[in-house]
Amino acid sequence: MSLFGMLLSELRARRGVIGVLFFLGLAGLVGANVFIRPHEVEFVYDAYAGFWGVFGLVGGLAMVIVMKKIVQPMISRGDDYYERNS
Amino acid sequence: MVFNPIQIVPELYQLLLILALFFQSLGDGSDTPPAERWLPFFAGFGIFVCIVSWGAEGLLFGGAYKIDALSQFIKLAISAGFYVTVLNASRQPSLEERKRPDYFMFLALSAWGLMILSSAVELITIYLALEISSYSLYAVIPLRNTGGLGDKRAAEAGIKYILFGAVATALALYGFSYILASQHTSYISQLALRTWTWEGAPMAVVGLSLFLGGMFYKLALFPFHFWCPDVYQGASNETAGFVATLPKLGAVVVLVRLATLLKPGLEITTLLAVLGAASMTYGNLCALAQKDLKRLLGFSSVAHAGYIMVGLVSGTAMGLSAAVFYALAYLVMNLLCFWVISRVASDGRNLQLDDLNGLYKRAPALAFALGVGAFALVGLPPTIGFMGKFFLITSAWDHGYNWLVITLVVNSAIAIYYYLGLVRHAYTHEAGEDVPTPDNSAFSICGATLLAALVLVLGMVPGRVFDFAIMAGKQLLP
Amino acid sequence: MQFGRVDKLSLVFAQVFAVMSLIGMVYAMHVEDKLQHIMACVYVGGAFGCTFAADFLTLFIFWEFMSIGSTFLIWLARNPISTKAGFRYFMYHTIGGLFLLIGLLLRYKAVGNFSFDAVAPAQMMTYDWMILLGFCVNAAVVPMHAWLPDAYPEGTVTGSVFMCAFTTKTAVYVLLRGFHGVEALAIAGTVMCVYGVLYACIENNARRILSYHIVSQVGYMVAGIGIGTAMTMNGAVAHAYAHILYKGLLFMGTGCLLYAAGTTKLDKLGGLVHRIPWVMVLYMVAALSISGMPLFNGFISKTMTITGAAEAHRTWLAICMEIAAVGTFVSVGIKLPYFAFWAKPANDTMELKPIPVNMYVGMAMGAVLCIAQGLYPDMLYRYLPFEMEHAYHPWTAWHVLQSLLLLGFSGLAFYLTRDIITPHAKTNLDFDFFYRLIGRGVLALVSKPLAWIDDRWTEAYRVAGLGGLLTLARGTVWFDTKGIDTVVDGSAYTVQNVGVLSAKVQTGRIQDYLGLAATLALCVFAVVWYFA
Repeated sequence: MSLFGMLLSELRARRGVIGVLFFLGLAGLVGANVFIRPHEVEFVYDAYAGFWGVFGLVGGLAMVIVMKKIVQPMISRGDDYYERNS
Repeated sequence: MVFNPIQIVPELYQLLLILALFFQSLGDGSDTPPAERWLPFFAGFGIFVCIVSWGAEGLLFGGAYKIDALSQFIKLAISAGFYVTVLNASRQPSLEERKRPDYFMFLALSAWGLMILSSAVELITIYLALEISSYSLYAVIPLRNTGGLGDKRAAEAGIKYILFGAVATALALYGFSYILASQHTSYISQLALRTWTWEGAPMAVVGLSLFLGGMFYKLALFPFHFWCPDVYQGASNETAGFVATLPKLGAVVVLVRLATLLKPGLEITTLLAVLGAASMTYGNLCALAQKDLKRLLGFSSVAHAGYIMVGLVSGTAMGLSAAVFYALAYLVMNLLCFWVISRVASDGRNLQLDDLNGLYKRAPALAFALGVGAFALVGLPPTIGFMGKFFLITSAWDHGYNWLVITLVVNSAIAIYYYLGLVRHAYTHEAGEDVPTPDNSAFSICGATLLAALVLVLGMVPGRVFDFAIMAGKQLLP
Repeated sequence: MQFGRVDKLSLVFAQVFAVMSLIGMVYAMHVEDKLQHIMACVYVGGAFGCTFAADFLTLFIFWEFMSIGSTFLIWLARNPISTKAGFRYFMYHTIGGLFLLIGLLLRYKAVGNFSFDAVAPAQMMTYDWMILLGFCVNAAVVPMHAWLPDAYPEGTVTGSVFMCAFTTKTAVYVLLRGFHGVEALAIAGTVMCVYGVLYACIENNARRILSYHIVSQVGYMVAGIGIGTAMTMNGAVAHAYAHILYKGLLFMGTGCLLYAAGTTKLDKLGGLVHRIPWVMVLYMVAALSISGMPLFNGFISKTMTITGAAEAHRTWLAICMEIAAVGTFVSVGIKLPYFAFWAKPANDTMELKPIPVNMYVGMAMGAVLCIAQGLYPDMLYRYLPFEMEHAYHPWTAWHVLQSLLLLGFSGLAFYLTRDIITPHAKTNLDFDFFYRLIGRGVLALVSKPLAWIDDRWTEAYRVAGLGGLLTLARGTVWFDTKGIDTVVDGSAYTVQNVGVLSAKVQTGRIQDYLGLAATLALCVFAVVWYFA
């Protein structure tokens, strides 16, 4: 294992710390959004602070849940589905 | 009239040859070189002598003797043919040594008679020249010595030739008398101005027909041909070589000169056409059945005589030129065939078709020459026979005798069978046991090759020769 | 008919193609199979030809070159699945090429020349739609996209790197050249954006995820072309440029995974980060680029497109593009590397082939360019062909903040759903289900009914035709031997027999001769005189 690999393993061990830093970062971004605004409003909701954050979160959640829980059960087949038939 | 000897130099030279041979025949032949040694050279020289007087013009001996393009052309042909036949006859196994000078003297005399015949423009002169050439030949035909006693068949042939010839010439003289009585002249130039229709001058027409009969006998035209196969068969190969070729030339000349009297549509012209057609057909049909080569060639001569008639009936200068050219072609083709026959039959026998078997192996050059000769006689390109027939056909078409032209073409097809039979036997059959050994010496091969080359070359580029023939024809019928 | 055309648009594409082909060739230096190199060159050559083509006929020729080259890049993986996949790919692209051919021939008949220029969107004729259809097949526009996820995962390790860059981008180029402003493209592009990421969320095979992503990213470009303003078109060009670089890098990364571990199925990978850390890093560069993280070139290109869409007042299109951006980060940015490198406890047991140095070098080249363009956007912007009213400046505070917000909270969404999003080994049905159905139907049609007809026809031919001919031949032979030979031989023999008879007249007796001569002569004379 290379030096870099060892570094990454160390980081992996400290994943809890990294998680906390991540959430702090997110909060900071929302806070910055209060002050930094778009000079032109593209959507109605653009004006609100944190809109894009909400957009990202909701969008991501919706996407994953809808696709994985609803859509995939409908359209998924066995791994060798096509090889069996063709 | 100014007499210029240059004009008759060929005849004079031939006369010299005759005299020399005569004196040689008087002796016993022991201290002079044999005739067959020196004669070919001098005969060859004679060809060049003829060229000296080429282009001479004149009317000699009281208007009976004409020197013009036709006569000089024919004289050259005769001297060339004489040279070849002398060469051919110089190696004759069936000729006694003692008789050789006489033999050659008579041959030379016959040739001389033919030369005079080519220049004669008056009926009696024609008759005399004809008799000279014929009588000389009567003497040489029996000269065939197989087995020391003389060949009975040669004697028989000689008798037939004499008797038949006698009757024919008698009839000719009788006809001459009629002509003289009715037309009051015997000069052809004057006869050309007279009427020749059956209504206008019946006696003259009969007379002319009878006179022509004599010519037809010499040419071996039906129905005066009966002597032809027997004489060829009976005489020795080399003699037959002379008899088959040169006299025909003389006869053609006379007929060509007389053809100025023959206008298309005249009964006499139709007679010629009918006889020509009958001659072609009968000659070819009989030849189909023959096994003896000389007999076969005899019947083929009958057929060729018919072909020549085609040129004479058209009444145009081109027709006459074509007839003259064809006569020359006939001379060359037959000389070639008889040369090969004489060389193959090295013991002097009569060749049968089976004697030719396997010739392509035994004597390839001779076989090839025979093939060329056969093709020429058929009339296949690129030989002179084809050119001759071609000129005949083109000159005669659309002059009122188209049926005759068609008959010529059909007969050529029939003739293919027996001519190519020669080639078939020579090339596809294997040699039997009793076959003669052909003469494969340089002499024989050279001669065969040169004659074959002449046949082929004149067949491919006949222009110069044909121009002479045209010139001759135009002088007769301007 | 002009052969070539060089202007700013074609030059910018040619530039990125050249860069990518260099990176790809460096990446593929370890490959000993010469045919792969040859086919890669054919493929790249085809792309260049298409870029510089000034008339449709030249375009078509090079289009087919690309098709052939890429098919071989799939086949040269030399396993049963790739052989079949390559076959499907080739058939599909041939059909696409045929659409193009039909379109251009019809256009030639109507217009009279082959020149390749922009079509006025309001006056599109049937042949223009056919040509558009042909282009869209190569651009993987939904619903004609299914060849892409079907074939790209099956390509060779290095072949897919080439393929991801050229086919679709050439299609984007020709769409830019010919069909900008066509409304249908705007809609189709947006659909592609979303469709691609949705499938990417549920896929298992890493390269398949990336393939669906190509659909999504190309959707941005197609939408930009469809909208048709100068900014969106420039955005499409910039996006294409950036996409080639980072997508190539992504495929290179997963290619390294394939090479080392032998599979790209995410359910089989995991816990490998400490063994191939640099692959992870270089991959992440590309992953962040594609997501649009500031500092990387995706940021400067994707946002241009979205801003352009918004400024053109295509609000819904912009929203969808943003959704797609979310999905991109979630699937490619986080899901793929997480499950490839982390997810499971450290995996020391899996066999990993050592990765050749040239692969790292290639990836490094790509990564450097991604970062460089991200930090210094003018490096890319100066090549953009279309004149915009006002220059676009990506590095504004708001843009950075917005991107970070979007991406950060998308990451939070992933964190919250990390158990749900675990990939499972399943095949997701896509439109290729229908393609295979059609293919099987055509095959059944040919092999059963058409073959039966052909057999009957051959039978009829043999019995009637051949038999009839032989009977005719027998008839002519019979006619020849019985009929003709009888006549010909018969006439010859007859003539000969007549000749024999005639020759008998020659008896040999002189008295006969003389008598006959006289008689015959008189007869002939008489006949002639009587009739003449």
